Amino acid sequence: MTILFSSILVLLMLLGAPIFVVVAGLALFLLFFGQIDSSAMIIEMHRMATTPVLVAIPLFTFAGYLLSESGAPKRLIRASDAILGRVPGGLAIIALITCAIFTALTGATGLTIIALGGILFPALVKGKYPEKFSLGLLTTSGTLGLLFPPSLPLIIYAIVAKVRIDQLFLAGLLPGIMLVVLLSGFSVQKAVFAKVPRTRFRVTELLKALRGTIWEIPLPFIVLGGIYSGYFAISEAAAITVAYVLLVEVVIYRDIKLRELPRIMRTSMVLVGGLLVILGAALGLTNYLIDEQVPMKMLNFFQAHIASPFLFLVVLNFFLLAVGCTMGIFSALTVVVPLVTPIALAYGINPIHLGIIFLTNLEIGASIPPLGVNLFISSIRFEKPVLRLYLASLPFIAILLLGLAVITYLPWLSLVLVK
Amino acid sequence: MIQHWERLDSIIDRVEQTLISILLSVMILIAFLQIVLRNLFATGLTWGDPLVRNLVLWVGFIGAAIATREGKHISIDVVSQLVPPRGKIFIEVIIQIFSFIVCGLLTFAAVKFVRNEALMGSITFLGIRAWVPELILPAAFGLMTLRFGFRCLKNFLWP
Amino acid sequence: GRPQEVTVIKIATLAPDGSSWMKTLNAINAEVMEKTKGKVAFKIYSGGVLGDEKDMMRKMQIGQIQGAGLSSGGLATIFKEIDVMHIPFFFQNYEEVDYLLKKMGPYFKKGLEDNGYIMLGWSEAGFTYLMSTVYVSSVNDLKKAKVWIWQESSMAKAIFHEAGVAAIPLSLPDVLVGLQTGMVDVVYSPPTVAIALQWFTKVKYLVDVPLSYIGVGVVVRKDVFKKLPPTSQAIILESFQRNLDQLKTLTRRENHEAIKVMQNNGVKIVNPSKDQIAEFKGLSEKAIARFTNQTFSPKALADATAILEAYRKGKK
Ligand code: NA
Ligand code: NA
Repeated sequence: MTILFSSILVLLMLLGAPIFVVVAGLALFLLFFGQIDSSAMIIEMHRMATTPVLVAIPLFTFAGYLLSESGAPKRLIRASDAILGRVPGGLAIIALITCAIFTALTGATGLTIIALGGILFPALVKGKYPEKFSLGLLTTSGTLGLLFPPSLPLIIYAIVAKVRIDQLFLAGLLPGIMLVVLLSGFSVQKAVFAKVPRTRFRVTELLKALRGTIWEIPLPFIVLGGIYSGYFAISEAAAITVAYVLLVEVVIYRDIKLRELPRIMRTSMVLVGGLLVILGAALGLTNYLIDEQVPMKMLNFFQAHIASPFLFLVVLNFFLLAVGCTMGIFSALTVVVPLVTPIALAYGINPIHLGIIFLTNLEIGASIPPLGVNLFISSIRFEKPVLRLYLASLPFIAILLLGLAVITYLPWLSLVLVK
Repeated sequence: MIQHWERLDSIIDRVEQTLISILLSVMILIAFLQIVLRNLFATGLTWGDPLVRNLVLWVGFIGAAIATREGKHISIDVVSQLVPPRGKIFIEVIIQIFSFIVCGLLTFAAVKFVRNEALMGSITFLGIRAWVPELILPAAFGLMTLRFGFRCLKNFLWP
Repeated sequence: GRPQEVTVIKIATLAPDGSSWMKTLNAINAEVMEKTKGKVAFKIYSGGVLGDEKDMMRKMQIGQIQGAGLSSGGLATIFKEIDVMHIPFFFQNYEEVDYLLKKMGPYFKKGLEDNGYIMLGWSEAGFTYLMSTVYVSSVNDLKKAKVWIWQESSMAKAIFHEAGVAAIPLSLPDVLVGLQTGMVDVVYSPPTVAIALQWFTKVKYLVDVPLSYIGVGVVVRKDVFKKLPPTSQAIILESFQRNLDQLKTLTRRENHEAIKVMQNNGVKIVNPSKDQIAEFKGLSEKAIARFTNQTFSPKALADATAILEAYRKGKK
């Protein structure tokens, strides 16, 4: 009965039913047969929505949408072009870095492809980069920022797995930089091979570009400096970010008119609302699973069949890639983290390291054919057939998988900064 | 009936838009004010943080209701791109019926939740009864139920 | 004959796996299963996996779980008179707590039962103490300091308000950051909690006057408990009371040792003068006058005060 119902739900999910409805439907079904009152669902949703750290999510999301609607992306690209244009593959590296920063700030990978793709794709093609390479680059680098603070998935992982956010923020830095460096190396090699012309380095242009974005330069330092120095709690950093972005984009640069704010508030809160109901539904399902002591039963099963942590991590990686590809990052985080965390801890994996493994897998999974969500967003944004994007993203995925192996089996990379 | 509903729904939507603008602005204002008070004046509003948490609840669930109106809930939506238009409508109707049922059950659960909270009688910030801000839960789920229901009806009547 | 009926009672607690609390609950479970010949068993959800105290109470109410380990603050939301235990600077030592609970315990139990819950046993988190990064020994020092306040505790709010202290609200996970950055310089908790949350690494002083008492009790839904055979009921009550009494003794020792650990880490113990303590108490009494009727009744306050006064006289 449960299996039949679950199969129907999976089918509905693949057909495009809202994920929160699918998860809530499953939870309500299980609660009914477990003879637990359905309001247990709402207790969990309410509990999740009023978690103190959660305040950071609407604030950072709104700030991210403000940035994406302002001239900030253009100014950011201009400044990095002035710095890196001379380097072979410079434009591709710029694309990687801006996408990473942008995803970190906005938290939504789809948003990065949509907001930056429109500027970067024509620029790359005009700069004589092969089209297939450019498409693959923009499709996969949309997720690169997930490991950099203050990305939403990092915050959500910390909330769901109950680890310290500041530690997770530190842990993501080196692995994130490594992935950017790996892809940059690939880009340089590609650029040299395709004989991509370079731009000249001019100090005047550099100064002009930097002066143009002078007010946005302090932003990463305010956010990250505040959090890393321990001076701000995460919710405070979020409030300061919003206040600063409003000041810069509305008052100083005037990219965004005051009357546009209600619309931007609305679009950003639609994303927050969508996230919140998924989180809540997933927590409702988790509540049932904990009540039935499912994590404990899974742990016993795993320990009976898999002896070494090494093998466990292999299995975990394949599982998470599949989950990231099919369910999407947010739903996967909320549904899978509570189930897998106790098992991984029993294998002696550090919870912070586990978080980085999780996020890296999910970020790669989001670009993996056939169902990775980034492929479809790119397909819509660049008006290219999905199949073409499958092929374009393959080399990038291969490199990211290499990075994943390093991150998984070299805990040092994630943990060295956490002390 | 559908026309009546659509007129009503557009009024509800204007209320949602207004609420979301005001509540999010207040959230930003209070959150920022707390930082200023803490760091520059070594004090703080004891009701500030609970208020902000309740604002998150409101803004989030109003956002979810708007997402239902605009069809913007996070979903996978892969297979439906591959089916012909006629099959697509059929799939949409099934999904809407299913969503209607689940949201209806969630509304019912939320009503029970708020009733229990009223019975427990606990108090949140500024002496406000905890169940009062929690009313947004049944309200938002109720609205989502209606929106899924009427969208389905519309698809069914004018495919 | 008929298949034997097993009643499984689900109990949630914030206490993490491996803590003295969980060890005690597991011991009780084993004991009860053995003595009732498997008729009653407990399923224990540790570490707050089912949520904080409010969530646990919500889940008891809808019947997902049947029992919970709750702090006296949580219990006071079921039966308000229990709040009388939380009056700041009310007790001077643990003997006074024990004496008061001996006298008023039955009243609290009856109150909980009238509201649908059976109290199985009582232990404690212990006394909270003021801890600070700046020297604090008087009300005046407190006024100059940045005092943290826990939003959930209305009693603390009232007393800081009375003192004219501008308290800074922070959620529990943010307190450590607050201490580090100087956002707050006075906090309060039982010593064991200050160790567990790492606060002890940031504070420099501990004021050696018990601030307020935090008890912890295990309750179960009355309807579930009353359905059990009377012999099982008696076995459960006896087991809980005995084991939780032992746990209380152990907790007191742990709190005592925690203060020593803090001292070894360089935390200085501050002993305020008699006058300074009297000033703290005066504050508390003024705040209480305004506070009664909102939580506990004037009668409960009068009873508790009389009991303590009688005890103190008897000791002299
Ligand atoms: Na998703
Ligand atoms: Na996603």
